[in-house]
Amino acid sequence: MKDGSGLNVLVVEDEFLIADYIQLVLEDAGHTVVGMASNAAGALKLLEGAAADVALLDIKIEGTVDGVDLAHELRRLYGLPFVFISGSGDPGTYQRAKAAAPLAFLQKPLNTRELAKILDGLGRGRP
Amino acid sequence: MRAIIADDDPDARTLVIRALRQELPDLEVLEVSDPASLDAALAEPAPDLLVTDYELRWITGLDIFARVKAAFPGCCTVMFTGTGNEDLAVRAIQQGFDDYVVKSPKQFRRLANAALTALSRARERRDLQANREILLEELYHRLHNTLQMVVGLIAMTARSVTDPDARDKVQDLSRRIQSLTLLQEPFYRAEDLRRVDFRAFLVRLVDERRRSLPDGVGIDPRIGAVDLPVGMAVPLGLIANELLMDAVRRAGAGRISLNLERDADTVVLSVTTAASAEGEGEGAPGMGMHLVRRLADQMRARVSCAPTDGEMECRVTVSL
Repeated sequence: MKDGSGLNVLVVEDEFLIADYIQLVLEDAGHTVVGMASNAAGALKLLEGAAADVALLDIKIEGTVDGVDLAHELRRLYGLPFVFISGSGDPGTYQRAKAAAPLAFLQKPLNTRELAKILDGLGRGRP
Repeated sequence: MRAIIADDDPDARTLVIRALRQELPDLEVLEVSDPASLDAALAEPAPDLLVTDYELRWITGLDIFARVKAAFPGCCTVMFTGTGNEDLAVRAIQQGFDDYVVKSPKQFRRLANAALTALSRARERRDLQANREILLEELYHRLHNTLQMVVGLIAMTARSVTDPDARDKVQDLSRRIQSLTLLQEPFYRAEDLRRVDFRAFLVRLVDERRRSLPDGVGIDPRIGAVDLPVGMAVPLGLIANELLMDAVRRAGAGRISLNLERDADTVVLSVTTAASAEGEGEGAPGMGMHLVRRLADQMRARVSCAPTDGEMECRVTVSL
């Protein structure tokens, strides 16, 4: 967004091609990617040195902590809102993800307009 | 492990329980000897096993079976009776009992073995079902991740294309890939994997396309309930996507109506657009209509596109 409502976004995704694509989509929309991590530890480390407004989280990521568990940590430590972007479609994962109260649960392949709408809403809502 | 043991004779129940506990030491038992104890057993958490006599004073073993199975479909069942004969054994197995054992003092060991075999088969069935679900989840996840990579690669390619017309074509390609993705979802959720809830797919497709419509263009869907075999759902899904994309291009600033109906042996998909003056020029047969015709040939469907009353209607008729 050119009106100064661009957000600082943390991207957690373990497929670099998808991470790069998400970065392109975000930057086209006027947002800034403050960091990209492929696992939960990397994401938490990044946030020690950079402030984010929102996190975009894959669910099945490297390591033993998945995106849903990471989301709970991000909320607890930083009060950070998050969006899930997942390739999983099984009801169990979906229920767990929904219970974490994300801004949205987006299916891959990502609908970029839908993502833009969610981030716009968040950008406008900021003080 | 829990078992319901139904028999009028308390001694028989004791012997059955003793025989079963030799193989399954931790077995919890619910003894059933009258209507009240049967109701009580049915109100408990799911049992793993039912052992029932045939002739009880107040009910038959077949009726007990029916009530237990209605409440707990996964429960294993063995009939253990001394009053039966070959006919009854056949009836019991036909009704769905896992096994039938003739009640006599020497048969208690056999009863325990029959119960063990039935329990282990049930476990195998459950494992198989769980494996199937894991496999499906894994395939679904990989497929969607792979498609996301394809969409990402196309988007990155589109950025490097400077010619606007060429860029539009690359974006059309992205939409085609996306419609293929949408087809996977109802397939994955289907109980019967050979058939697809085609209405669910079309509803999703219309939702997706609505998100990227030019100003003033709207889609009015009238989509009936249609299940299709996979071999038909995929080409017809791609056709629907092409017709919609084509309609969006020619709609100018009008409405697009999309209908799906089925009768006894045909399915009809039609997309109608008000053929605006500026839209008509772009109606030249492009790659979209070429794809529609080839896909229709593949599924032996009939395609007709004709202008009527200032509208352009494309209709695809498929015989089931």
